[in-house]
Amino acid sequence: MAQIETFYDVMRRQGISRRSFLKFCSLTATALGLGPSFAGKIAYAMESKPRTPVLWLHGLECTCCSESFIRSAHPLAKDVVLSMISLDYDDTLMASAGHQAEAILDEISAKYKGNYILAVEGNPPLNQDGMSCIIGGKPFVEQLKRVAKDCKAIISWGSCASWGCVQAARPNPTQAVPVHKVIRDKPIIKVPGCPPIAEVMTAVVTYMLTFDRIPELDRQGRPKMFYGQRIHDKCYRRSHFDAGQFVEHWDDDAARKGYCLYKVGCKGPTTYNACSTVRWNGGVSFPIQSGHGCIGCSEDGFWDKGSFYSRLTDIHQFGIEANADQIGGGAAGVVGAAAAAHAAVSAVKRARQGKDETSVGEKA
Amino acid sequence: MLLKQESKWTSPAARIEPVFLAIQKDRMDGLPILNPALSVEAVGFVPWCEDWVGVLISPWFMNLMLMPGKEHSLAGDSVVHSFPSGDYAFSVGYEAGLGYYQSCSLFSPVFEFFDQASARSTAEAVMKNVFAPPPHAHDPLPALSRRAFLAGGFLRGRHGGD
Repeated sequence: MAQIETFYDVMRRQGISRRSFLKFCSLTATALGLGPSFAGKIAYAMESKPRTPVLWLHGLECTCCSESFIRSAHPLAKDVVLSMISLDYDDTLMASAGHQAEAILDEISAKYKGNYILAVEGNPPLNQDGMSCIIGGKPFVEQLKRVAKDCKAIISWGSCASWGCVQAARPNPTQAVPVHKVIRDKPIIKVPGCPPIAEVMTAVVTYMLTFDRIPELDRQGRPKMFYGQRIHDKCYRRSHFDAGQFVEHWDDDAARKGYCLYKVGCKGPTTYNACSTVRWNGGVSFPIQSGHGCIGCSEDGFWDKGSFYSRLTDIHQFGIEANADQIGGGAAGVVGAAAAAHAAVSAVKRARQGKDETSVGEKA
Repeated sequence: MLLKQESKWTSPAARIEPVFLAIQKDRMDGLPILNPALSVEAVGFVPWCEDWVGVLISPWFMNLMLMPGKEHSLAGDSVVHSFPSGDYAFSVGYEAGLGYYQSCSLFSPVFEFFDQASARSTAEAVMKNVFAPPPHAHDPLPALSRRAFLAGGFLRGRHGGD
């Protein structure tokens, strides 16, 4: 039997000790909301399964996703995950350049046909034959289609790849479109946010590489484990919202007391993301905690939904139907006993701490 | 089990409703986040340990709510409470008319409810679910002890497959 190369082999070659490797496995299990016992499963998968290559393409974007990713709070996670992915193609992080770099794309696509992960940061512009984003002398959309043809699954990093973000905001002169408008025949995992939270990115990519499958997604294609709740649901200022205690003007007494920021434009009630639980910079803080409302950066078309500081008026415009699968059916409403029972089960499950472990990792 | 009835306690529902009705009239007036089909209603409050737990419906949220029993304060930071179905994180609120209380968000905003009756039956179902045993009751894997780890249990058997 031919020698297979595992992630563990790669990590050891990159100078990561076994101790660090095991520590990483338990950190990852925690990040995924799994019990400590899953650390063993992750370790086993990484030691025994052939390495899955990751190609990381960049279209129209600002590199904030990469910036977020390489600053994953725990240095260990960063080292390990980078050693897993940077071997292949990432035009921001890789050592190779020019024709040599582009050759890697073809080599990986051929050698690992149907068996590599494609991560896309940014999106392709379609106007003027795609000339607003040229990589290696050719439109990015061509590179994207070529590499996506033989991949196993696509991770759409950030709001650009997931929804379009600022370059797709009206009037969208370059006709920038999210990845799923161009690639329609592959599973796409959307990890929106501008940028997404580092820990979320690390956890999603590690989950896919170790368990060799995609995490459970909601209707919009986002991993439920990180995008199942609104900022508002777990906001530490939530009791002020419930009690009608609002900041009316910046720097008023209510602002100093840390009241709810809804009236000064907070989009927390309609934004699905993990900021209020995972938080940022290693769990130090998040926008609302530093006194600014949520701008809703992980929601579809957030640039075109008015000022960051104008009060959220049309709730339906944003969020409700986006989460229709959690509240019982296509028509986003609760009518009748069955729908009420279903809504209650979903709400209680959402509110409960921790994740259901039963659905994760059996195939690892 | 955890539920107990004591006649000397009176349900806080009658105290909660006027306070939140006043909040709706004074502080929430005219806000687009209100669902006009709903009104303030405290549903299914039962004594639980030293406190009361129930669901509060309002036009802008539906929360699991904990009200203090006699001579018991709920002041402090956010806290996790264990119910038969699992653990829930509650945050602390304060209102002059109520004192300190704790709440755990179920819905907000509440536009998915077309009428008060469906909100009420959802709230009643929530109470049943919270006090029901967890849906996937299975024996959790024990945390790995140092002894088991040194004996190689980390990568064997139920922990990692072989």
